[in-house]
Amino acid sequence: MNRYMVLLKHDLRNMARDPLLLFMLIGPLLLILAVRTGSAYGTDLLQSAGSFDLLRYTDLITVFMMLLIPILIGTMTGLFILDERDEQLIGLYAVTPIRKQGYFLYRLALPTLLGLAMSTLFLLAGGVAQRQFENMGVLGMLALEAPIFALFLATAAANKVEGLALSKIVSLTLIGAIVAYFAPEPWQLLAVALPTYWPSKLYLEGASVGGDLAWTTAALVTGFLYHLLILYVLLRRFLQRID
Amino acid sequence: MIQVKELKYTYPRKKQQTLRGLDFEIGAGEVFGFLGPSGAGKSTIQNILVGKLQNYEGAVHVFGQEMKKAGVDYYERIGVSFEFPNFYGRFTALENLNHFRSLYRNRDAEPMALLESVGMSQAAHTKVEQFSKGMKMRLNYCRAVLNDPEILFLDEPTSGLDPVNTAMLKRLILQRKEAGTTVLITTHNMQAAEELCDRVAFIVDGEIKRIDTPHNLKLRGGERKVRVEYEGDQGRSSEDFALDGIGDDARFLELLRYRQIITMHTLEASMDQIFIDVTGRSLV
Amino acid sequence: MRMWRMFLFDIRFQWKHGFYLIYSLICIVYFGILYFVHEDYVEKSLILLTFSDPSALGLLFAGGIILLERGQGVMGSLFATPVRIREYVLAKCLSLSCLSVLAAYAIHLPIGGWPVSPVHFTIGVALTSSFFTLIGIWTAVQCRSINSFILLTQLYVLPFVLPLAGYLDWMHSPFMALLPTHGTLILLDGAIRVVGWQETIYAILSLVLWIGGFGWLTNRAVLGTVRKLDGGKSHE
Repeated sequence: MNRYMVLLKHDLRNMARDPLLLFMLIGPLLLILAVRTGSAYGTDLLQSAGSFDLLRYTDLITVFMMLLIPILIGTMTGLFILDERDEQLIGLYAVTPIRKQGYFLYRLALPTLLGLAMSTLFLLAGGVAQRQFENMGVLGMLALEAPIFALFLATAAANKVEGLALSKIVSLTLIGAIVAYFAPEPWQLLAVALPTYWPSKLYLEGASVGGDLAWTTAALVTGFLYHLLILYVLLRRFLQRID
Repeated sequence: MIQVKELKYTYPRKKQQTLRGLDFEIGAGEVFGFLGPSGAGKSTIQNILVGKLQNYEGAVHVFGQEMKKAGVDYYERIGVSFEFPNFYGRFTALENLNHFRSLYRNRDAEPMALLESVGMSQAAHTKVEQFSKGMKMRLNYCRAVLNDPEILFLDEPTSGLDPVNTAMLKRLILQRKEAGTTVLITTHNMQAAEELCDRVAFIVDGEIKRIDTPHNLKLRGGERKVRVEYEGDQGRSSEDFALDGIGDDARFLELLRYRQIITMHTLEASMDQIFIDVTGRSLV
Repeated sequence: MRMWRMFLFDIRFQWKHGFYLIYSLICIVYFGILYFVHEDYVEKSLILLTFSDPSALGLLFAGGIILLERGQGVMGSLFATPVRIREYVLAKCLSLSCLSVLAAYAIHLPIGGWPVSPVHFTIGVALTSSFFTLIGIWTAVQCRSINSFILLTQLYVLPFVLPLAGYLDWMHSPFMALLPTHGTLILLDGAIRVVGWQETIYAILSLVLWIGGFGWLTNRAVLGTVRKLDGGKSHE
């Protein structure tokens, strides 16, 4: 554990040069705060302005924002890894006792834990989410999404520029939430390939009145296994690439 | 071609001067070497001469013009190769050269011919991201001479090159010189400097300790002696003999005749040794 | 002309790094989303989307290109040639505007059909894209890492998003009218209505002035990192 503390300390000291940690902490916190205050005041404002009724979309906003947290954290981590690779820093870690595996374990554990913590905070304190049993499963999947996005960027992009371009694609996975919310049943199949679809689906199933327990269980099990599969594939590809 | 008088330079927000009053002149068609350990101020000099640092004191004239007043057209007439070669990785060697060539007014150079001259015509259509350091160094040289520059700045041109390619690069540099190009080399590779340069300047702590031809430096620094190592009665021993009149030196002849000689070397100084003698510093 | 050659090279660079491919994908996804959006909201959604994505893509991408070029040290080689900073910056603005305009049309045509005034729409996207490209370059030059770059751009961009609130009738403030993005929204509105010539002149003038200002800042910032390392007198 000691070695990882060294890395963490290094990151803390490096905050000024690369505000990764800062960003991963403050970004989601701001998001949660914005949703909390926004949901309180936004409804009145929008109603008086004659725009659409925000309340009707509470569930959509919830899934949208809860997906945004791992996307944010995962993208930052992925870009950070690319930055370190561009500067050939990863090679440096490889010859220290931490080794490459240790380095990546640390790099991926941090967003996983932070993502989990922030997602939990959002669901509990965001002021929009429903308290429901399904959220446990939702959180489990969300925790895996930050490392998935980070690894996706780190394997698919050859450098920072491509990483930035691909981060657009990562943001696009948000449509998983939109499809799960809006699309009629057969069209939903279009989005099953997106990991983000599954936690959204699970949450919405739980939140809908008269949700089907069988469906909920199916979404939970399939989604979770699917997340693990993606993570495994990406991790393998990544480790092959850095050797 | 280049005249420098009383050149002093202090980096912004630094107290200590990096260059402390340099004087030198470099003639047209000369190959001039700056030798010194890292941190001595070599790259500062290069950066001043290529116009990247302008807040210097003293006078720096290149092509008869004060560097501070040099416009962007100055870059039409010089070529610069950096120690760390850099290209667009996603583009091929040829594409890179074509792009850099397209930025000059003089676009007569044939990138393909240049690649051939450094033995890289095979790799012309390979993406640079797949190149080794040595290949990038050679491509780097091609890039620097694309505009057929009047002055060529080379920073550690032989670093990362194997002996064969080092020899090839030296040949190319000497060809440039024949064609009238002035070449400035910064390096800490003494051997390369000795073989290439008409004159070298030793730089330590922002000062030029000596400027001379490699030949003169060697003459001055060395001793006209020969050191003989032989198998003595109590194991190996060695003795030095002056070269003048060595044919009549009885002790020398005795050693040659009756002892088993292990090595025999004249004590002309290596450039490294001269550098240490002159500056009191080692090169690394 | 050197400008033109640099522009073409930038386009190829962006092509080779997958910008065009990724934007094709993004456009398809946007098409998918807009397809499901209710008729009453489509027009506004289109304009908001055009505002927030194709028009602003330069922010992220220009910065990324700068960080990469500097990180790989290409800038050193580049500015050892007679390239002028303004040519370099302008080439980035134009090439990314090109991508912006293409993407904007790719999103707009299949959903909204041909804009009412293609001239307004195109100029709006191109000028806005150039403006955000300049901010991207200006920010990237001051940053060491990609994450600090993203953090800073988000901060810098914040005020320029304000006119959106006015556009959506959420709140109004005379201050917003000073921002270039107010002009952007006017010009983008050319997609759905006829924009008067006074408004047009005001919008274009506002954008051009802001572009001029940030162009000057960017030029100075780039100059300081690649040509005049010690802030010496400019000879550009």
